[in-house]
Amino acid sequence: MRRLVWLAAVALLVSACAGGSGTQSTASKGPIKIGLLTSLTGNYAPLGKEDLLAAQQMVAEQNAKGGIDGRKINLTVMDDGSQPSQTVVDYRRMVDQGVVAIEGPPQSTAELAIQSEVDSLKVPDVSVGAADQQVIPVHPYMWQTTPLSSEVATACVNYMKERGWTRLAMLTDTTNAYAIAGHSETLSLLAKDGIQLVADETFQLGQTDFTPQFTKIEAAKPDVLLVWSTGAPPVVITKQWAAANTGIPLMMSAAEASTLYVQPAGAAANGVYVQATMGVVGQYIPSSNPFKKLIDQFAGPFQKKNGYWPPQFAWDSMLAMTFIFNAIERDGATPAGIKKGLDSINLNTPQGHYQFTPTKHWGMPQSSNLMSQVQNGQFVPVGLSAKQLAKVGEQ
Amino acid sequence: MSELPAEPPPLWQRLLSRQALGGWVLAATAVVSLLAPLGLDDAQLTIYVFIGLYTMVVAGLSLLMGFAGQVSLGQAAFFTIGAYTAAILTRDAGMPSLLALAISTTATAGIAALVGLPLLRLRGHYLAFATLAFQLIVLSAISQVPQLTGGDTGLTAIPTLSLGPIALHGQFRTFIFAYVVWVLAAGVLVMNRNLVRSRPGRGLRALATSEVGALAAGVPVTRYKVQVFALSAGYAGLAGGVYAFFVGYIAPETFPVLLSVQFLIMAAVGGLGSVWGSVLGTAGVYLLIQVLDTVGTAPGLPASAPAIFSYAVYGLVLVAIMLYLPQGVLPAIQARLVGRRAVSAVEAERSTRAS
Repeated sequence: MRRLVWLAAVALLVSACAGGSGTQSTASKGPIKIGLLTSLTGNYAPLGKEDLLAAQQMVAEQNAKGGIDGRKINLTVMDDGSQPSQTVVDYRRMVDQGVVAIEGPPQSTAELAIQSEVDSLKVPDVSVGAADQQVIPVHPYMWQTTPLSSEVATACVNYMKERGWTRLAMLTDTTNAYAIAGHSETLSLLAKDGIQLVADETFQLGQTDFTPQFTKIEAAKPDVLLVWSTGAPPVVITKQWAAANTGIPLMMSAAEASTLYVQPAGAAANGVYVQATMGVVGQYIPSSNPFKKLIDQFAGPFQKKNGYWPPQFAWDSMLAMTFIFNAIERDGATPAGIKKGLDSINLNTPQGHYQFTPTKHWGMPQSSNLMSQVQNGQFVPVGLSAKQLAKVGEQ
Repeated sequence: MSELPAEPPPLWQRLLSRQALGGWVLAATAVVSLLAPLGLDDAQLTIYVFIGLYTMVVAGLSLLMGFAGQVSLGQAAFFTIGAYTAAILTRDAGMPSLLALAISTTATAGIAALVGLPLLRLRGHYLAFATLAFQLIVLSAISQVPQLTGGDTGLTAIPTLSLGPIALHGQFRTFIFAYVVWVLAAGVLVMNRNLVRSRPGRGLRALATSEVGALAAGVPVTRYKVQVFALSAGYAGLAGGVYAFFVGYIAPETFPVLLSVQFLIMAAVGGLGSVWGSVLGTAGVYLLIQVLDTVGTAPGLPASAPAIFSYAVYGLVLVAIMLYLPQGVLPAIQARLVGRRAVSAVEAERSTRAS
């Protein structure tokens, strides 16, 4: 038995050396190697899983059409275990293995951790996470599919304006970079739109009883409570807010536009406003919308295979692959060519019309950032007439 | 009267004896690890650098836990403090990186000494939880002063390591980092080795077995405990500083509690209290994680494969090691060699008596 353990250990070490020494091929024949750098274990695994499903579907569909320029696409997947230091190792391993472009990672901290690697190794990275710093100031080899936090905040404030809500309360997770950015962007918009901040409560990841904050918020009599957080806290907040029965509407940011929020929150989520992008509410986009066909083209097979409508993270991953494929088609399957192609993306996608330039590496149209309301576990767009919905996605 | 000292055996015999075996293995390891970067590609060099950095942390932790008998579940906190101090001093205060590294190492050790004074009055589980709490406090504190630390978003564009006007950039950056880290890790290990063999080392070992006994024997228990705590923190701080220069970006999320647990696993696998075991434990566990990552994401495997390999297989391997080699990998190897040596010594004595 002991010998067996030793044998196993030796075998592992040997395969470590073998696995690490990638073939350095940037050959112009044979399959095109595209990397998916994501989190399949650890805290960000729920996001990474959707990234993987969407990327695999995109690659399979493209290969079924014969690949690009007659070359098949080979997807190299690596799991960083939600640890940014591992993301750095994985980015380099992918480059050494001859990958020409990379999607990911979903964790904003991990994206920023590989930023200097991407700058120096110059293999394009299309990120699927939300962190304004990865594209502002512009880094020549980094793009992002998600909207900026200011654009998410704008969508929330626009809806409040439309409803005539003038008294806002915010509840912010101070241990979350995305939440803090969203909070401050919202603050900067309020004065312009005549909205008053009547309660500004905070909490830290791990808090499970929100009664103290709720008491203060209720006393301030806001028209709406906007929550900036991700992961587990929004679910707990939703349940406790529903139980408190204040009659004050609850609003969540784009991070909750997913079954990962709706399912655990259950019936308590009914009626909650959630900021969502066009793809997430794609079922309700009328067929007169020019992007509807693209939405169904991706969502149809995804739903058939996985049993649910693609959530936010699947759309992000789908976009990243769309951009990389498009860049390769126009400018060739080399890192330099793909950079050139990504710098000039001008494309209709299920999330609207995207445009990248050498100085602007994000590009979701503001009109694709919608407000939705949860109804029986579905995200239903609100605040827009059928006529307006038909125009969503335009620049 | 005592017997006359025996004639020492000739040099070649001493060099080939079992006692010298350890030295040979050590020398071979040093040579191989020094030559290794020449044959590694960029990704493998990155792995090499991380193994070196983690070895420094694990060496300190192994010393603290195995030798001084103190528990730390928050060693990553010192790694974090070192990284942030080095980053802020170079990035915002414009200090040369080597000076910043020296200051961050000293500062981390200093903070550990301060924190250690009250903390090390605790024992066992209480101490373990206190160190864990310390790491959570450090991470929380970093989030709360975004003006200085960048908050949860972290610090970007940290300058790289430089010597005067020469900064580590370009093609050979990782390669040179590999050697910088090798020198630092070797320094840490040699320091540990000397400490273990010194008078304070013996005192520490005594206090690990029985604090009362050590106290009675005149060992300054509290002082030694705090000193070794500070030393292990200093190692972690040094490694953290180099990490910041190497990666160029740090955030609280870079240093989760899980990292502390990983350090602990590496120390336990290598053998707590084993100086050279920390190298073996760190490299072994780190490479195992890389292998499982590669295997789990191999094409054609189901979507659940990464989780199975990273959690279940990883866990099973660790359980197997703890089950069959509870003292750690290196002490187990040494015990086998020493065991044989002891047997052969007994045989030798028997044959002398028989003659």
